Amino acid sequence: VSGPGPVLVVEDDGDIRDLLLSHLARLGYEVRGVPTGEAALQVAAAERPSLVVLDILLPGIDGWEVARRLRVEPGLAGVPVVIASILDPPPAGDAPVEPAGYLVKPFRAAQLGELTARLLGCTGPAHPDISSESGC
Amino acid sequence: MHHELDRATTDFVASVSHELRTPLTSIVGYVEILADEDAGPLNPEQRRLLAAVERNGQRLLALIDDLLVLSRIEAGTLRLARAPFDLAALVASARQAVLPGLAGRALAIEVDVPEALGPLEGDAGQLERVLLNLLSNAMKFSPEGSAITVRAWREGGQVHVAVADEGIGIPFEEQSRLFERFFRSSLARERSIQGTGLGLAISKGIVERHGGTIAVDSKPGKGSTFTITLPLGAPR
Repeated sequence: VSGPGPVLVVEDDGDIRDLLLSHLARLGYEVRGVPTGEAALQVAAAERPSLVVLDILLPGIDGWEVARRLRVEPGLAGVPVVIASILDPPPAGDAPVEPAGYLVKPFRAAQLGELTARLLGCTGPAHPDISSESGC
Repeated sequence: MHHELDRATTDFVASVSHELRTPLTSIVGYVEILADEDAGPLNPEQRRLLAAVERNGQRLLALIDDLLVLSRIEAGTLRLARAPFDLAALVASARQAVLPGLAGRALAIEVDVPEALGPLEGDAGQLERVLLNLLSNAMKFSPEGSAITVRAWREGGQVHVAVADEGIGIPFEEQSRLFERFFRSSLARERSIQGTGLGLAISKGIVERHGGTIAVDSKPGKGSTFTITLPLGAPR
């Protein structure tokens, strides 16, 4: 379905980035976290992520711009993008790039688990409690 | 001038509400990890303390969501869906959603809503928010052993939905201010009943955006009835 690379978390708030990375690691995914959109594009080109979890309000280029550039990059165009933002989702059809999923912060661990299970299936030595909650 | 100031306040409230979601994400997220015992086992006392943090985090979250909805209503930017909806199903769904709050209480919710009252159109999700507000208010102010009733009927070109309780009621002189934002009845404050004073302001805004009205009829010590009136057919 998607590349064999890590789940890439793009989030400038360090505590929220660690929270996302910790949830994803417990779900059994290999993870990678970066604080800016520019860093995200570099890491994505080098590591071919299987999924990108993307904040919108970032220093430098914003999340929508990151999603748009991924979409036109050969080899990265098919990588699913999940937006995780304090902003409510734009109405259907109004998003600059249609994301594969949208989480409004604060989110629950189970919501993230459901999204990753739907988009990635269940990989790796998943944590037994969370994987059963997310239907793996 | 006045309008510009109102507009600036509304924008400010919307921005602040959004910004509050950032720290709250870490607070409720890490509390969830602790409460799920993913960071190690908890003793009963620690579990009780964490439950209080979690409960109040959710309260803050609900307050932020209410502030956002109200700021959108006041800025005229609340987007409403416009689709036919089934009032009986809407009431049933709202009742279902508040049932957990009845656990351990001697309180009944009786529903008398006929099927097919006539064609209604609007945003079912937002109208359900109104019913949830009215039902949860009724539950907060109702004594044990009493009943809450939801009735709906058609009259002329309108549908009326009334949520009635047998609770503490609202002093007559306060009733005209009840739908103002942050207004709370003196009886609610005296009894330390939780609330933000935003629910009825939001409800009024949503109902009016549907071309309808909301009104209160209440006697202290006897109970309160809130009646929504919606035009049949398409909203304006």
